[in-house]
Amino acid sequence: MKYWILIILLVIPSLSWSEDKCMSSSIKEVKKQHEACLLELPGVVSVGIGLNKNGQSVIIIGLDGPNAETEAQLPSMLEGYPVEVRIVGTVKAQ
Amino acid sequence: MANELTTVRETLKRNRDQLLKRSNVVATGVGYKITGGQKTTTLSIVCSVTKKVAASQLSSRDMTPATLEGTPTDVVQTGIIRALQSTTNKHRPAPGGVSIGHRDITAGTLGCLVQKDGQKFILSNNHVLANSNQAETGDPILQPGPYDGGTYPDDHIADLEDFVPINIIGLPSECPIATGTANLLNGIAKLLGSQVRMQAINQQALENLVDAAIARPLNQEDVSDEILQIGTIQSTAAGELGMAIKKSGRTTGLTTGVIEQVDVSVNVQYGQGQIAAFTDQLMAGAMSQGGDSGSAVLDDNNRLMGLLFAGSDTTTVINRIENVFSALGVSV
Repeated sequence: MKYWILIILLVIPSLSWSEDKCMSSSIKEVKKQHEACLLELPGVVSVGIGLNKNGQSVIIIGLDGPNAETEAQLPSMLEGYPVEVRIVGTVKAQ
Repeated sequence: MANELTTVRETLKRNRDQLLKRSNVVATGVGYKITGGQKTTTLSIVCSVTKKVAASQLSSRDMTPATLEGTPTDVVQTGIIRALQSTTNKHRPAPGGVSIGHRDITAGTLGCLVQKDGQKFILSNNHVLANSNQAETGDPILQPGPYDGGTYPDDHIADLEDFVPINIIGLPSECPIATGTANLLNGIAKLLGSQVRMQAINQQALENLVDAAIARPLNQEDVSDEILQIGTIQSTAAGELGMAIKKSGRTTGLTTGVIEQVDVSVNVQYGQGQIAAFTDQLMAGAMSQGGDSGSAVLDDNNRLMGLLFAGSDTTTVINRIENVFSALGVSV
């Protein structure tokens, strides 16, 4: 009995996961999927959606200051969407 | 030339009081006479009046003489001259854009008035009106805020009515393993139809959407629908990329900016080592400083679209007004 529950628990999430992967995700969905991990990298304070110089939608990662180590770990694309890194500084309640 | 100026200034000094007694004169000074819209090279004594009136309608007592001790006069219409309204002073009725705060904080900004059950309430941030979750309903709100000299009971303008608690956490946890585990457990919980979701330790149970609170004015006549330097709110609007925005705040007054990012998830510091994670925020360039928190943010058509609450040297972070309204159950 326990064995069957375990199998169901393991199989169903993996099915729904592969389903997600097959659909082409919007920039909003891609950002949402990755932001938790991005926000836990040292120095990352924000993840948002904006436009680059050419008016193209980009995922913008905000840093509290220059951080070569973190910047080296950041992808330049996420699932086909360009990533732009900006120094936004420390964000404080005002 | 220098001598001529000295002479005219002395003439003005001798005649200033009698000029200012005339009913329409609000200011006197020395300047080049303007004739037919053109500046001349002739020095004159300039009398600023609230309104130019035909000589036939003035009593001789209120008439400005054409010359004074040989110096020509010039009459210029300037309207009523008011002191620039300080945002840190006491205002009754208090408009949006002025200093306000819970009695235990420094000072923030009175955003604007909102309606709930047919009554008017003051809208600002939780960290301005409710001392970052520390306050209790009914606590006194001062205008101006304590940092600007507001004291209880003299400057007591309202009582805290309601606030949206902010989940404030410590520093964020390390990512992959902890969140991975939580996600797996959440997958299971989802399957079991559970309402409970596991969270990685140090990750807040709920992400914040707003830093918002309302206060009930002691007297409805003590508050104004106006926002300093902006006017009245026309309606509401949803913030979008590229939208031109403005705010009127205690510290930096009227400033403008552009929405540069939407759907922003951002970690905001609430004092040392205290961080709150916010989602679905709007981000603009630098247009605020400490004390501007709580400012109402409007678009070019005076449509209310956000509530300012945080920022850095280069950015301003704004709650979506639709999230504020639904969290507090209020409207414009």
